[in-house]
Amino acid sequence: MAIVKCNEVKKYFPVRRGYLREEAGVVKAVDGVSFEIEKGDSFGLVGESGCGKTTLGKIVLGLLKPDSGSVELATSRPQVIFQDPYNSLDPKMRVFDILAEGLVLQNRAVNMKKRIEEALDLIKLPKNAVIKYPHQFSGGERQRIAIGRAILTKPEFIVCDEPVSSLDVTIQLQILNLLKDIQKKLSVTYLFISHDLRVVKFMCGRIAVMKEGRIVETGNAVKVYSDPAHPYTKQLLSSILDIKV
Amino acid sequence: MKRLFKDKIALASLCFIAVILAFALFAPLIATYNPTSIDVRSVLSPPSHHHILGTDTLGRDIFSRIVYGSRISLSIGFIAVGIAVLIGIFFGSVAGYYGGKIDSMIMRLVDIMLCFPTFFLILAVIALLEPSIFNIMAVIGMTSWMGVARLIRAEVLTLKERDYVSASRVMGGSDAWIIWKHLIPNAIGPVMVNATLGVGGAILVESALSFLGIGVQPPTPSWGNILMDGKSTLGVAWWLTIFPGIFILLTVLAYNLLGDRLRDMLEPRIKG
Amino acid sequence: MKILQVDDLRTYFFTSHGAVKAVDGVNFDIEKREVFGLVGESGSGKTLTALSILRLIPESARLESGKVLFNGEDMITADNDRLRSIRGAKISIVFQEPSTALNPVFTIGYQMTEAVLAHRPIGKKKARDIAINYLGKVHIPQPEKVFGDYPHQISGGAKQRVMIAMALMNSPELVILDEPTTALDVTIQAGILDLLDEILEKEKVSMLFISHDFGIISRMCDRVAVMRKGRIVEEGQTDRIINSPREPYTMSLLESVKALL
Repeated sequence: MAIVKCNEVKKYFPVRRGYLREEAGVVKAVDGVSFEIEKGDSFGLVGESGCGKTTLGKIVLGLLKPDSGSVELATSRPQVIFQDPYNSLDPKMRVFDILAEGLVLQNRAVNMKKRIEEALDLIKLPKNAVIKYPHQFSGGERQRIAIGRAILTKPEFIVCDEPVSSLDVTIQLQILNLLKDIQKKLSVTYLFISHDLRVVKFMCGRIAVMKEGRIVETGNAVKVYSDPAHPYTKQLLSSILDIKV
Repeated sequence: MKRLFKDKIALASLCFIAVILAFALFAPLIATYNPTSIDVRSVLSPPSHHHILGTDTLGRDIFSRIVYGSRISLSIGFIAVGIAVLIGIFFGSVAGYYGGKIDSMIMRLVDIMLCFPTFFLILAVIALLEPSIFNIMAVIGMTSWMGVARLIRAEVLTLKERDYVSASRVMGGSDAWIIWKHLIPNAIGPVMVNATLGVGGAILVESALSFLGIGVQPPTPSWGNILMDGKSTLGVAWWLTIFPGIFILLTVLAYNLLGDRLRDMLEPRIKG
Repeated sequence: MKILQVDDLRTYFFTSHGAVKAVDGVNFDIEKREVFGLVGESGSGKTLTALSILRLIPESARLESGKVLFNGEDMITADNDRLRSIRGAKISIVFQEPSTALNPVFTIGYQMTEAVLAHRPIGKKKARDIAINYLGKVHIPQPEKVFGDYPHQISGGAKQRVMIAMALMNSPELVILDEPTTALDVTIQAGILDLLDEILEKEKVSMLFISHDFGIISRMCDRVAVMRKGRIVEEGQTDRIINSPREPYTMSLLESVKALL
């Protein structure tokens, strides 16, 4: 059962040049993208900077409206985890309020304290974290708080936009394992966006490779990595620098 | 906060402002005489044992009038600035958040307001309406919100792109919710500086209006109208001019210095 | 024959909360024509170590103690004129962010010729020839055109190539590279690393290569030192470190890397 269906989604941005900011052309950020995400899957969207993956993520979330094409979500209120732990939490809010915001906005504030405590357990942060402010935490801890915020409303679908790209490699592994753990415990479906092929391989079942606004290849992650069909995928894979063991 | 206390000038300004605040709050306890009681025998007496800052043309004690006058100056200062800040936050956040035509319209309004020489605008309005304290507060407030609006708009323009705003939107946050809960609390920093300096400015405007006779009306004492009394007697009774003048000077200076130091404190943090 | 000897280097930051020992007793040597790697997570002190070698540390920091011997000469005690003649010439540095390293209001050519003329007063025309020559060496297509371009007119990968060209123009003996490919796309990264390989062969330089990425270190470096909280935790031949790490910290770092293989 598909929880997300994208059909020929297009999003163009005008390019304005000159003093009078006249339209000089368009940037085809997303240029006809179609894919489906099955319930329970961890779907990877991989590509280099500027390929449109973040724009596509925002369109799936409803933050941006596509110029043409459609996005169908068989779920209400997806959640999101952003890349930069230093910008994704409101610096003026206490952790309790940050975590509670989703529930408050959906008028489900009953049992809030208990639910927050449960979330803190899952993300492995101490109970006294709730009275603190974001700046009192490290990058990895802040990302945990962002994850906590995302899971509190018990969403069925979470978009993860480069969730570990800003973190040190040891912390990356911790957070990725946490995301896997959560997926198991809460039965969430992920749209996992990243430029890092290694991370996507670790996390994802099916993947789509994006280049210049288009999907060039889709398929099972393991299969695509071992037997890439498209030349761009091949180029991406050959640029991965693994340590020579 | 701690750094503010370490700065000697900021500390001195805060202390002086605290003194004036004490004057305003505890006026009946601090003043030596009733500010409106006329004493024909002591008309225009220089500073002495009985009247530490002298008396005016009706024998009223200057010190007591200044103490009670602080109530007027401070309340007009705070409330006028409060009104300006509220108006400024509203227009600035709406302009910055929505952009497009709304932003253009609001910014044109700001530009138009800035074209008026504010003081003359205030003069004109007060001349048309009656010079009540409320009117004065309202007019000063409604003519000095533009700086705040620009500051808030600039901050909101940057802040609305932050991921925590997007996250809130994804979770169902409405425009009003985002502006109120996320944008305004984060945008308000620079406004603190503007507001502090604004109090000094409002006090000056009130003093000027009262000095010209169209501000606070006698017998209610205000630093400005004590000065007005002193105008005609400058040669004979210097204390009528010097003392209220010094208080106006020191109070405005205190607010200006405090505002300056606040700005210095905020700036490096913004850069870093 | 050692080109660089770093001996008990300490660089501390002095803040209102006390001293931060960002570089806390670092020792390593670089042999001639060697590529020496400095690997560590953020905050380990690796960038500050490189800046300390050239005494380019920020105002709030101070070189507490230590010796940095470049060809036997101590950089820490050298006077400013001597230091300036070495920086950009004998020792050059390529930073992570090419867009902030290049001044947006001047053309690339202007910045390159300035860099040449700062060390050799040979006149604008000769400096221009050298600049264009090196733009060619780093495989910039149409070097004469790029010479007249502004930084915003060329891509990130091209900008980094320009930075590498600028680092080589004055025939350095040691090139320090601080995360030179981190800000670039992975396909562009491959090209830059190939270029660096070529340069190592042709220009006979030594390199100090700083990165957080073990994959890059594994590809580029002969020897590597692992840094953590201002200290070197372990040092040795790259293969040995990766395949048989001895220190627990190194092992945990590599474990995280290997988990994603």
